[in-house]
Amino acid sequence: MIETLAQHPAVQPVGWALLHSLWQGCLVALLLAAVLALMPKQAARGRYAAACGALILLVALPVATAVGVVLQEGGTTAMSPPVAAPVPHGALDPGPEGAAADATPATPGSATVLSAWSVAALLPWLFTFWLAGVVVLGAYHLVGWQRLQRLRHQGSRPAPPDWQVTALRLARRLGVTRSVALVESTALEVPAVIGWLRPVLLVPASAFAGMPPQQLEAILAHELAHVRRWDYLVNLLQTAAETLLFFHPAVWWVSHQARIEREHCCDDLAVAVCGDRTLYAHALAGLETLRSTTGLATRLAPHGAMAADGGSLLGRIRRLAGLPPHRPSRLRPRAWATAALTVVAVLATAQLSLTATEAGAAAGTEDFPAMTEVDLGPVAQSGDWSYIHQGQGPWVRITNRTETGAAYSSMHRLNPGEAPGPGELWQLSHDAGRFDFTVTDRDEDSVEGTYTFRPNRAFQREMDRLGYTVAEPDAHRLALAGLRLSFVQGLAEVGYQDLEVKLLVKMRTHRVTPEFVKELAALGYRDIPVELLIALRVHKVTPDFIRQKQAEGVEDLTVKRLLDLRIHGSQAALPTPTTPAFDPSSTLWQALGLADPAKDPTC
Amino acid sequence: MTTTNPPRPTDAELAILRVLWRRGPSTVRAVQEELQRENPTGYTTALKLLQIMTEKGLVVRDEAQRAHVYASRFPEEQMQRRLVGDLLDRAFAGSTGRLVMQALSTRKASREELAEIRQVLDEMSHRSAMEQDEEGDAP
Repeated sequence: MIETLAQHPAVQPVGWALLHSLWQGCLVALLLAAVLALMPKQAARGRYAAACGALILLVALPVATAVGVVLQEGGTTAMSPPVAAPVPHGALDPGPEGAAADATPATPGSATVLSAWSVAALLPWLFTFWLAGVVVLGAYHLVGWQRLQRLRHQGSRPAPPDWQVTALRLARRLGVTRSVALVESTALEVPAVIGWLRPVLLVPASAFAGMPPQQLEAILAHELAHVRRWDYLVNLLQTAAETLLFFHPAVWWVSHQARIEREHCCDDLAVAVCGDRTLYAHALAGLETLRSTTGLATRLAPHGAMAADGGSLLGRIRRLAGLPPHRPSRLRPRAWATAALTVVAVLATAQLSLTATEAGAAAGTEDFPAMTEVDLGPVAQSGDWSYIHQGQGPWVRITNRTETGAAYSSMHRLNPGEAPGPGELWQLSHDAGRFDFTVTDRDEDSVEGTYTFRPNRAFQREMDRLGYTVAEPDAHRLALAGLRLSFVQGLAEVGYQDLEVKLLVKMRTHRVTPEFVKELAALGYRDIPVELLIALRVHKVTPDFIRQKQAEGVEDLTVKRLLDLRIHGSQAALPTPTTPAFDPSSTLWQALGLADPAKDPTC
Repeated sequence: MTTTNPPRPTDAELAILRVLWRRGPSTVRAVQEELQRENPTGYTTALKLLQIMTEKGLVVRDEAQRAHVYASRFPEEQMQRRLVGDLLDRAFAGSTGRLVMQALSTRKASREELAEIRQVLDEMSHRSAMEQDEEGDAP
């Protein structure tokens, strides 16, 4: 069951949302604590607004995380190197690119793509556990709500008419426009309001008899204030938020704060209506005494009930008296615990994301040492160049003129440190040869001039030894592509040799490294045709992705199937074409969306 | 009669009710004999309980004969339903208590809290009395 659930599209977004909600929630709670500490205790409305705002944030942040994950998954899968002008050339991007493009730390989306295998396997469990919790708690509240509705009618009858008149008067004063039914009930021990569209104010029969009328009026005013402020409805939403984020202690704390401040707001309104703070405080105390003495265990107050709702009576009365709330020491250990929890949560999530990105980045960077032996031959190519800075980095455009007079340009992205200096000459050295640039023109945004290229004959000899014939134009292109001898040697070691030079360049560009080949072999994929290797890279089928799919138990994971899954993200397989032999002019190139090297002059 | 909610019986009262449901309307002596089988119960104890139950409205007393006859006021099914309802209320009290807007929180104030509340209230009354005095003094 877990396996089938793991493939559900909701698992990734929700799982990451849940993970990140841990530290997000702690931060929001700490923020609210700070805000509440700064606000005066009497400013109930502002404090209530802050608590409600925090609650909204607590729900909105995970939703945003989930949406972010969904968007990032559906984003671009193909790499597109920046091109300045429409020139006929193939993909040229020899710098250590790619790692920066898809490995941004701490964004959930990239972490989804490159997630460490353990995290990917954890998410379905998190999702299941969370879903189970929501369902159970939701059902509990649903039944509770349903039983509450029964309270409206059972054991209740309309209140005495004079009290109904009083209630109406109070409602008018508070600005309540909806009709509120005042009802006498045997099922409660304390006045309460149920419902928001057609609210019912239930009052225990003992209250009508056992309290001075002025005090009872004040209490009714408090309840009607709840009606005026739509508190019942807000409370329902609050309960929904608590259900969705049931696992997070910060959510419970913030919710509790909101409830406390809500009672304070209504206390303030009741005082405003009855005009006497002392009277109202006495009314509350009187109600409490009445409740204790009647002793009937009623439906809303079972023996030993939990204190989850509202503030303590003592706290409210102290506030009405203008006294500061005491017992701050009770908060201190809790505050420290939350702070510690936040730090741990933030560090843990950061670590998770970081290992994920490291895994991705490690696959991208190569470590191919340059050739040490240099034996430059005579000038083989010459032409013009210009240096421009745009897009993701500085570029040099090399324009080459052949003997026939045709000119073709290619763009070469420069590594950090490679740039025309203030002088007239600068160089670019590669295994395949050296470019000598002469600056002829310099203005504020570009530098240009002429260049010569001298091939490295040592490189040609070594390549010859490996079975590659590096003819003159090829040396130039290999140098531009940054093709290192060590790279070619590495590929030969893992079984890829006697390739076309154009293909070598393509492999270099798309980071089909010996490391990648080895990782695939470890996962059980050997002897993959070069064009498929390139396709895997282009569509970002990483070893992690393969491991994840294997962990999910996806069947028939051929290379083509992996590509399907990555490109289309679904189980539906493309109609599998018959495997043709490696033939650059075949339609397989077109099917894979790669530029045909045979037709590509500069590749 | 059956529309009103039956009062909640204590354990001992429930035992007596079961006897009455089993046997039908019975005298105190008969009830006591039945109870004796499970727990030693004196005559006076049974009588006291039945008198309280009559006050509560759980049973009705027929005083036509010298030995009064007691009968359960509510049928067994109704009482069962009430007890089950009680159980459910208790089970879901966490939810219901949270969903209503009550004047006081579900948790009752402790004795220490009540004492402190009384102190604060006295202080408040004292202060407001003084303010009224001052207002009275002002011209």
